[in-house]
Amino acid sequence: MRNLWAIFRKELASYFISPVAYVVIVLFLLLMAFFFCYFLAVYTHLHHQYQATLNWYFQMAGQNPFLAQQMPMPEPPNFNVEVTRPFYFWLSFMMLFILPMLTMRLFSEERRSGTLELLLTYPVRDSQLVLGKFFACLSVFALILVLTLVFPVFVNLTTEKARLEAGPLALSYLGALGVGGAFIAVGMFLSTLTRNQIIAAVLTFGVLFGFFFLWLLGYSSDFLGQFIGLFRSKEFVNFFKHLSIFGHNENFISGLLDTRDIVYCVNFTLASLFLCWFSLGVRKWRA
Amino acid sequence: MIETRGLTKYYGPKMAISDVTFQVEKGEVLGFLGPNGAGKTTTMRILTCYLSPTRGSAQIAGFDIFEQPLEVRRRIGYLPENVPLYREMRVSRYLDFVAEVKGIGGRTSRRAQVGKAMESCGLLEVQERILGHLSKGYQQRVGLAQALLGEPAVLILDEPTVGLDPKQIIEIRQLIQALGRDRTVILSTHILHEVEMTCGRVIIINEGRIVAQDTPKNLTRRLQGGARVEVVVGGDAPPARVTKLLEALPGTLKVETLPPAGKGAARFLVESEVGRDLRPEIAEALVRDRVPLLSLREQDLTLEEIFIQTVNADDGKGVKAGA
Repeated sequence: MRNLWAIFRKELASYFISPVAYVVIVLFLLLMAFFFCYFLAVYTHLHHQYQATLNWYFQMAGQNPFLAQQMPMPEPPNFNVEVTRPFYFWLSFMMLFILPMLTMRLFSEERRSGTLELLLTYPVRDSQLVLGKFFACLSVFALILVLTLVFPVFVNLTTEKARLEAGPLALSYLGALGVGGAFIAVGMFLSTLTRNQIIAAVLTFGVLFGFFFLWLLGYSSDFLGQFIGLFRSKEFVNFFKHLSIFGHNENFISGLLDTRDIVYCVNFTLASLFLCWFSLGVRKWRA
Repeated sequence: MIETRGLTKYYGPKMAISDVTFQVEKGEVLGFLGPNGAGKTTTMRILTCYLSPTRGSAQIAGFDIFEQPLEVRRRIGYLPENVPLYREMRVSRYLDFVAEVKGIGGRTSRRAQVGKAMESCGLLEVQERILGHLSKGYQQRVGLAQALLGEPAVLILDEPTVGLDPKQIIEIRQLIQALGRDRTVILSTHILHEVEMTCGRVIIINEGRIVAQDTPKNLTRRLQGGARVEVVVGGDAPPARVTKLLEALPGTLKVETLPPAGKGAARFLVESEVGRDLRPEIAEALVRDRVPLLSLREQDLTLEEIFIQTVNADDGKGVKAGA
């Protein structure tokens, strides 16, 4: 346990010794700020429209109450639907680009510089090494997530009109952390395969994008169904949606807490960590 | 302390080492000598449980490398070739990390051990420097210091003096000698002089096989065959006459003419039977014939020559076996 803690602390510190963590944090927050402003602007616009429609409705109702009874009252735009959900969807999408930057050096750099050889001859289990690095990377990512709380807090503090609800918000973050953990484990595994950080990052991005693409296939099934008969089958589409980690993230973001999604994230992470551990052990026998 | 039996390792079809068997007693300093690519690093990596052998077994302090790798690793300090370090870390922080990973508990006892290691490796004045900014010599010392943490009974050092300047080499050798007093040390090198200076026993390894193992002194004696004397004569004595004179001495096996040492100073090499010192006879014969004798020196085979001889003899065998 002490070894794991030592590796965890060292890895965490090395993120902040080099500029990596700072660059990633700043880049991510800037991107997220852009998305947040955009969705907020859309919401504001919709809200203006709603008020205009409402004014018109009352005017009309004053003139012709019978007609007003026939027409439904205009609905205010839903902040959750217009801002929170797309924001957290894009946050998880941006993880595709950000997380490879955090995971790429975890093993490839140690392999390149030869420090891995030394590390593996200390009285440490390979599994402790993998977990120590995993939790260090996850902590940096958790810190980034905590920093993105700035946006909902800002809204809740500055206006009475819109409010981010604690429940869906918490679920969105739980989803981001679960999905992020799975992505980190994948990236870590891939970084054991090469000495080159860039190759590790590109590989990770490729694999993660593959999972995103699976989700995209499922998501655009209506459109694809026009051309390919297979996409009209509900089972086939669900298969893709369930396979892709994004499909599970979607549930978290829309405020659904389903044990299937949690189990999926945890299994995905454990499987990737196992691959990573296995890949480290292979060196002993590799001919 | 260390015992290996028939260690064999293949990288694919390529054999790295074959049937490496040796023992190292407690407190011994063993030199692993061989040309580059002979299998020194592979053997060391197997002993440190970084690689597994294809066949064979090894035990360190009674623990098997397959059965109890963690126990083995607890008892060794390893310095890989080229000293891999985390270049962005500070010396003291790095050593503290290593101590913690090696499982040395408690902040105070860790600090004490790190301090001790830094002191014995002469690192106290650079402890707050960043590793990447240190000179190669200091990096080597940090490498040694990290190997010492956890007070391992066995030190395994892979080419500890490569890439250092002569002054640093001497310092590191002295350090290794001092460390070897109460520890078992295996060090690999392709510099023969180093083995002569630091090791009590040598294993010569070539193309993955052990070709000789003995003390440096015994190796020299065993391979030398006969005694050799270098003779330098002055004046204008014709070389042919001197050669004839030397050959006529009883006990001479061979006389070789060497390139002259300077103007009017011819050099000869006289080989004689084992255990026979020809120097008095040579001196007497030359003086009697009025050939001015300038110097007379008994020559030892250097480890270089031994090494080349054994490796060549081994190569010959290898060719025959292959054909």
